[in-house]
Amino acid sequence: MDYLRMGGYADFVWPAYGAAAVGLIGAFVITWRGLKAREREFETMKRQRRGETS
Amino acid sequence: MHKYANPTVFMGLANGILPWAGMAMALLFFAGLPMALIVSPADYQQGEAARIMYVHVPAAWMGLMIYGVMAAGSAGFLIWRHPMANLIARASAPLGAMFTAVCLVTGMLWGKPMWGAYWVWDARLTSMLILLFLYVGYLALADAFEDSERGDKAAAVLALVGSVNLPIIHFSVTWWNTLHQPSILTMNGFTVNAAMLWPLFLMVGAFMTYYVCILVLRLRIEILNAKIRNARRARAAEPAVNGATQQA
Repeated sequence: MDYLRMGGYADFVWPAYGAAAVGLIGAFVITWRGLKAREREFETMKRQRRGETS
Repeated sequence: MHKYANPTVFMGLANGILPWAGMAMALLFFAGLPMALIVSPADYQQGEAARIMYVHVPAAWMGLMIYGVMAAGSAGFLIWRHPMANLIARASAPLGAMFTAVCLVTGMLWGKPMWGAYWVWDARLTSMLILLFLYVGYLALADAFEDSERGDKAAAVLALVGSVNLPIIHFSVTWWNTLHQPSILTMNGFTVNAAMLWPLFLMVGAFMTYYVCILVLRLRIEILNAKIRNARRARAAEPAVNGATQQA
């Protein structure tokens, strides 16, 4: 438990690592969701296109 | 080099790199985080607060490096009309902004216990804040035009003009009086003990491989965007042609 206190600097060390985690994980989640949404959009577009030509 | 201007060739390479970069990232975080948080010694002056360095410094370096990538990509796009260079710049910008923001936030959390203030308007902090604004400006400009080509060009010019800020950030701790500590990388090598340098390098490596992974995913998004845009444009052109033939 003493370790978590970070020698009295817990209020600064843990939020700093938290901020980094939020930034990196957040950017990954946004990117992943954006990619999946764009893939779906492109697939529907291709399907519609096939429907039109047939 | 120009072979890689072809998106299919480039993405073949990028997708091949992705799993390796992903594995390297996992290993580097797995080794780097325990070393940063547990194994590395506390600083003799700053105590445990010095552990903030292991996220703050890599984030700062990434913020600068990614801006360099963005400026180089913008130059490649403006000079050689290299389409992949532009997509790399576009895909990098949000990641550079994120790393710069992480650098500023962790820096504030480090500044409070060490300097007594979250923020001071000194050269290093201010020039780093300007870097964040440059990223935000680039992102806003790139999507500000109906005609995506014009937005890309305007944003690329901003990226190039803004690159003058990079040496200012780097040398700000030497040129001006500042609270910020001087650079740890000097002409005589690193000024930090190996026990702290190793965790730092591992975290830098982890952040770099993270950037490579997310960059590849963002490039896929950019390429899909271009494909969707082209398909829409082609479709919008069709009824006009039909209309013209009917009239004739």
